Amino acid sequence: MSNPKIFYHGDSTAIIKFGDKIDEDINILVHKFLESLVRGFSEYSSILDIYPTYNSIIIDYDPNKILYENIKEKINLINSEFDSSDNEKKHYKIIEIPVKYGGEFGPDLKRMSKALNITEKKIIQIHSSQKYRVHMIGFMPGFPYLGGLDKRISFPRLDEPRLAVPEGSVGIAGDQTGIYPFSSPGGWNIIGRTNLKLFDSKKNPPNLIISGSYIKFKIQND
Amino acid sequence: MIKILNTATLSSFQDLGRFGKKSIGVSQSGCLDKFSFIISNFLCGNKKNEGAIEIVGGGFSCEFMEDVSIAVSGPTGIFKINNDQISINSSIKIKKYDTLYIPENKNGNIFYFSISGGFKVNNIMNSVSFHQPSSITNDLRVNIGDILHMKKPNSNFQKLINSSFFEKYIKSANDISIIYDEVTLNKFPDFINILESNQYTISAEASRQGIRLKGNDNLSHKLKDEISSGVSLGTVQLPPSGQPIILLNDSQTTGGYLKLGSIPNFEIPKLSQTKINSTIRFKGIDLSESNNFRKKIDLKFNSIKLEDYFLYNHKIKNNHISVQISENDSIISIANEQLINVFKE
Repeated sequence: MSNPKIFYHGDSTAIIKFGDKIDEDINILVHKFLESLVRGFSEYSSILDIYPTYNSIIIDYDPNKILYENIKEKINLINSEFDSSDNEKKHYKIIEIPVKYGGEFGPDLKRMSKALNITEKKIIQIHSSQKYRVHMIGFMPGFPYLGGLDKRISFPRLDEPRLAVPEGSVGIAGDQTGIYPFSSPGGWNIIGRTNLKLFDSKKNPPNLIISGSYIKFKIQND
Repeated sequence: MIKILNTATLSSFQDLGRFGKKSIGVSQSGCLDKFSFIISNFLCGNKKNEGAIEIVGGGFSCEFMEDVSIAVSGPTGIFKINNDQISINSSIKIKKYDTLYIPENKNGNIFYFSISGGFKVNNIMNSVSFHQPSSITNDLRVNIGDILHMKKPNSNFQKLINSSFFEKYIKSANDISIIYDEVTLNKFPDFINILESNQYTISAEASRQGIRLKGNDNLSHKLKDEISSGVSLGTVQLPPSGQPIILLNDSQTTGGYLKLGSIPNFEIPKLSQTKINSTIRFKGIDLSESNNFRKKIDLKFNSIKLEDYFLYNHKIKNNHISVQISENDSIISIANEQLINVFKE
């Protein structure tokens, strides 16, 4: 058993909430419970989507086929059989993302280095030395929300967002780091770029990075 | 073959949506007015989820290079085949070299254009729905000059519907229902009172992603953004500016603004047919009221019947007048450029 709160949102969404902060343990619990939910609802054609966020799980359903009360009941049933102490960790492989840091690929690195008084090399070393948990995917197709950025290199967003950040750009915004799967307007500080294609709608699955896994940036020299 | 001559504000392929992809950041997309979408497929004998062209705004036109039955659904009004005026929510037999034109319509924004047998178009992740904010579905946008192909063109359908469903359930009314989140009801009851006393204008910043409302700024607040969490079709967000945003089919899958609640699913067609600069007012309903409304609307929707009709065209002075008479004489629709009247026995 875990102790989530269940809410309705509109007439076709249920939200299961596991706490009020961004926290790796909560997110691990979210993904563990997600597996039980997906299994428990696998026979339900009334369920349109089940997906994780930082600290909650969202269920979209067809209100013509099932009511919120029935969904809530089923979630409670799944929860009563759920073993949150089950420590059998999933062995997600860590996805390695090769990144060309700085220069034309990371136009904000120099400014960050000056403002933080840390050399560019050191920022790159800190950024690429640890693994990051993918808490959720959102904002745009395939965009990973990563946790665990070293506080020494956290840096506020640009005052004015750029009109176009190139596909594959690796950026920092506050305590977050992330990768743009598509060219898009954006206010993150761009420190590098990867050549990996994060999202390809012709592939199955289309996404390279999945929620609940880990990624690691690898310095790529030309 | 069909040649696209004009695409209005936005023309794109849509079906009922692309579900089960939010975990990879892809929102459901799909038709904004699902009632009209389904009607257009039924009118030309297609299955419910067959891809149709969703047309936003007036001015769409195309030329046909083959015979086929087509349907146009949406707000009450007319579309034109060459010089003939046909009431919207009808299907009609088209001949080679005929031209379809859908004019601006004072009753709504969104039309569906289906062909009997369906368009030949590629699925992207199990759906033919164009998803505006990402580049993954660019092939599903319809552009001027495009040549579209048909699967199995069928010319047997010439039908109209025996219902004023659009007038009763889709045509914009001032009141939009909202189901408040439990958190809003418990923590922000004042917001609810203020929200419901305000009148909001649909701003020009309205797209398939969402609608920005403009009104009194008495709901501006300094609450911190929430931790980004899931949002749905119909989610009503309240950014610090106090001007609410209603999310639609192509919205982001996650968002951090304060959520007040959500518009029930059956009100989305009405909301998306509401014209820019019209005003709306929120009206709170609870989940069980919403379920009752939905059942009632579904019952009406499912009782819509199709009837074959005959088309007569007359030129009186300089006016082209088209008359559609259903087979058992029960529905007569008369149309010229300005006026359309539907008489029912």
